[in-house]
Amino acid sequence: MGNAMAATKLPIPYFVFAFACLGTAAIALPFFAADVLAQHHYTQRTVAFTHLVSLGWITSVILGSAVQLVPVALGTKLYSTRLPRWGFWLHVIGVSGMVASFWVWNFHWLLWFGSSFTLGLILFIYNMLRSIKKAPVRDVVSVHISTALFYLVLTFLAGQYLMHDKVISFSPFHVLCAIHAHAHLAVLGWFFMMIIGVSYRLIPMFTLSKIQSPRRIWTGYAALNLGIPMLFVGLLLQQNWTWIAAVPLMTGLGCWFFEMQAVYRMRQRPALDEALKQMRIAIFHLPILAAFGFWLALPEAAPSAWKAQAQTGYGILALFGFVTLFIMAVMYKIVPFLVWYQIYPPLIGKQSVPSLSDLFSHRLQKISCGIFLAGIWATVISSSLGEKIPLAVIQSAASLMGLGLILFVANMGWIFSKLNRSCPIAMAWLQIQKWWTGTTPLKIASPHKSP
Amino acid sequence: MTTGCPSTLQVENALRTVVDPEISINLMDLGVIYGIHIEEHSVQIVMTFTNPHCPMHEILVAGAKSAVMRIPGVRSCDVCIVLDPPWHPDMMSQSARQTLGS
Repeated sequence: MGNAMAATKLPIPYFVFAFACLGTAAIALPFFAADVLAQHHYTQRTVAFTHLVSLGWITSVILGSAVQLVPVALGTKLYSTRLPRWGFWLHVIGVSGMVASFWVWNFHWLLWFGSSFTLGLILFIYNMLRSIKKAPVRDVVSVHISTALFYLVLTFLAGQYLMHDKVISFSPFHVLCAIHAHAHLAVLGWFFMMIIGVSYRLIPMFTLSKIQSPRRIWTGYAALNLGIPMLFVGLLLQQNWTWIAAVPLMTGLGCWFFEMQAVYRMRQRPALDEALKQMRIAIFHLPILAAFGFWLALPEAAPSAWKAQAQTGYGILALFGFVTLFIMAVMYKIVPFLVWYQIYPPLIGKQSVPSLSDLFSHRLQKISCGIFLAGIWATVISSSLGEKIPLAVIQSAASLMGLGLILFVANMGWIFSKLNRSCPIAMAWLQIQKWWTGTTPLKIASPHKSP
Repeated sequence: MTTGCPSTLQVENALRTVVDPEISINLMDLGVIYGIHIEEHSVQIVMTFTNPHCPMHEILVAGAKSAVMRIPGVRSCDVCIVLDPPWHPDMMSQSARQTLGS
């Protein structure tokens, strides 16, 4: 169990950092709503906020999950357990510094911190590729994950290009076009491709279902890989035909959407838990997001300020309405598993042990998800309208979304508090849990004292 | 003091104490135990998983072994993993299906 135990410890620091970034973003958003949501999206605070969410929250979670999930999903072992430990600190220093550099708009700092992030990323990609190479079979999951890593490299190179252009100014492309191309490469190529690939393993596993149509999956994969480069080139060169890229992209995302619906429909676990329901809601946001993106990509005679402002709402829907909502649901499966794995394996078969779902508050999960969903839609609509509506409305919407996220982070803290009950934060959490549930929190016997 | 050989019922009851933490169903009701072979004081369990990529598999195997080894008279316990025939929800007991909402 040694290698498995090591693999379950590795993601924990990544997740703690990711939750810290998400909590920071949740608290910051209402305060900086005027800069981040109510104006055109190319402001230094919007860029800093976007990287806090995309690198600090989403990428940290994916890096952490990958070191545990990829070996499990592919039936192999992680090539190195040491590289993620070094990579973690490079990632933390790099991301924190990059967000700070964007915030103060200092691109010389960005070069230094970007180098730390780069080194961490190289270690991660090397480790993943060596692990995937050892996998006994190549299937839809490994192909999607490998492709997501390829797009991660391209996204990173596009980011490097933008960063160096800010320092020595050499790019022939319009800066906004290059930023849009970079952002879509990150969201579609890295985030979506990874989510799609992992979902083909996780959702059938959690719902006790199975993949329904490999042909549909491969069609979707091919369509996405046609659409992503088309969209990238179209956005970069500001072409009128960019909207045509939406056809293969919508085909690809549609194939995934219908495959997931088929997997859910054929499940052998009729009663869905909250996490599986939340994943389904996130999946239902995808067609709306695709339609929104298609409308934004349609050519028009003259640039419209309203359409430019609506891009902020589109970005919020992509990063929070789909990616974050889906990841939050997956976290309710992965984090309890990781914490459970640190405490209970020596006790199983010897005494009664709690299930994974006993490790967090279901009431808090429901409340946070409800508030977050209401907040997402209020923020998407209000930020799309921008300065047409009072700033207080946008701030209230952002506060609602932030509150949902903070409650989610609190529930994750609730789970982590089981790991070390002697630290002051964990003790404080125990008291809150006692007050919230009205009972003494789950008793955890020490494995060392077990019979 | 000598202890007699374990019975199949004792082994089944021991395996009922090992619960899959993801779906809160014990190994017997889950239908992942394909066979129990007892030879004097040695027990061999043939089992599968609900999913070949189940991240809990090492824990469940260790739990099954640990539970069986606690039966008086058991001196050794081997767990043999098979993936064929693959597990299917029809293999679950009626109570397990009720737990999952069927």
